[in-house]
Amino acid sequence: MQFLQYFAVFTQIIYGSDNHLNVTGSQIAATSVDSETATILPVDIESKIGVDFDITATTEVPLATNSIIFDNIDKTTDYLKKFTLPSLPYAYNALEPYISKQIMELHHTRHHQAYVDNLNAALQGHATAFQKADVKKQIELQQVIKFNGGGHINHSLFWANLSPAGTPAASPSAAPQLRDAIEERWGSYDTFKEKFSKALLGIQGSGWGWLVKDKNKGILSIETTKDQDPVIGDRIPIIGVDMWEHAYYIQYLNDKASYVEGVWNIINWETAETRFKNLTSLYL
Amino acid sequence: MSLSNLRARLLPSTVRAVRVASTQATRAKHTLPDLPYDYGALEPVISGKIMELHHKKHHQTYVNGLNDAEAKYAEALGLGDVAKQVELQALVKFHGGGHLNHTLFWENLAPKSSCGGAPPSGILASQINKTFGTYDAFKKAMNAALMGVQGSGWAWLVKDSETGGVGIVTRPNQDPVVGKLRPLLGIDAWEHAYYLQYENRKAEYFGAIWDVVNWKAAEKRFAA
Ligand SMILES: [Fe+2]
Ligand SMILES: [Fe+2]
Repeated sequence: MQFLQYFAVFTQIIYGSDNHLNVTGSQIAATSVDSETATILPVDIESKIGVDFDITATTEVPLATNSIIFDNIDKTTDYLKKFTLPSLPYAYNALEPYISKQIMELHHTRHHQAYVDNLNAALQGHATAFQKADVKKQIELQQVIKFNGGGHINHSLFWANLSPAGTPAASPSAAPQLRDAIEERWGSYDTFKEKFSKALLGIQGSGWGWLVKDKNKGILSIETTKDQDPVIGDRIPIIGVDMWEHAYYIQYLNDKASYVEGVWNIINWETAETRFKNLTSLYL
Repeated sequence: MSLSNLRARLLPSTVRAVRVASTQATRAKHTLPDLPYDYGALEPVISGKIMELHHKKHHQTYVNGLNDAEAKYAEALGLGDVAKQVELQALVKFHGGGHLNHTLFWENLAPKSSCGGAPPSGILASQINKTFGTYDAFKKAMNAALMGVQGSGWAWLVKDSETGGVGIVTRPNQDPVVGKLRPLLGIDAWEHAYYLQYENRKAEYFGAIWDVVNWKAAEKRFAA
């Protein structure tokens, strides 16, 4: 355990006392592995629906070894926690007509799974490089950890801040305190919605839009992050929206404005309110 | 405005900006170039639906965005509003880059029935062999670069205009290849380029696209 903690601090992957993954910033750009085409582990979806939404669940499933850069590393890092794909808190078709079943299924079982697999592989590779005191390899893997760890964090947050249209959670009235804070910050809910939508549509390339709260000052703001950069540091993610093309293309094609318009019907305001109120529980 | 002028514009040069301002009144708007083949001509490698959306919607949006950004830029120049000019440069870069990149990309492709997929020849082929060993090794390196793009972007075979050698670079989003590097062959790694047909299996798309690469276009650029 001591070694794990030392390793964790060294690699800037912090396993906090509440066991939530927290990837910090300041990770250096180097090389990358693909996250979209990893071998997909079988996921028993039906049995997972309704199970607690826990991105920190561990598993005995062996690590994917699809990434070429990890092929020659021996795997003697049994102490490492392995991240698993969280189950969705609703069925794949539950967000229709705003997000199609086909998108949700691909997005969850392929894209998110690939981030999880590549994160596990990168952490394992990093641990091995650490044991061998191979600093170059560790630095090289930082960007891989950032990208895939970010992908895992972001998608976990995203699934939890969506809710089927028409459910009580999908109404902004499920977030009374957050709504007050939004009105205080932007004058009205509609102005906030307009500004958030504009930020989402202004993203150049792949990325995410976020409603965030500054942990110290308590101030709300709208942010965008590129690729899979997660919201970190003093900023608490309240609502995240995936603006990668894979999030909408099969259904909306190039009409991303309609996707953004649709997403407003399926925001989980209960989750948003919880994140807004509970500043210590960042990722659940 | 020609592509080379546009590329020059993307360089951070005050001198060029002033020259552009003086020609503002006569400056023609950018237009969507015609494809040199039918939308369905690259099937089964790239579906007709992807080609049509990619050309008519995505590329057109970059053309419109570029014209719009340039019009606003001209206005800011007229007002001497430097802050606004700097702010607009990001839009010119994104939409201008999108227009440049896609224009190069369409020319980089050809149906199999034409010259699509025929391997490179002449001096370009020898430069590729010199750098990568073999054409297959080059394709492998290019595919690895494409797979490594995190998010949206492009991979390019480029010529170093100082040494005459070739190499592979990647660019995020719509950043174009500018400066001493000359783009010879670009592959679009945005999800819109393949998702309708290949979904998340982008390695399949990168593997298949070599069957419709037009090396004649790359050779022409290499010789230019
Ligand atoms: Fe996504
Ligand atoms: Fe494109």
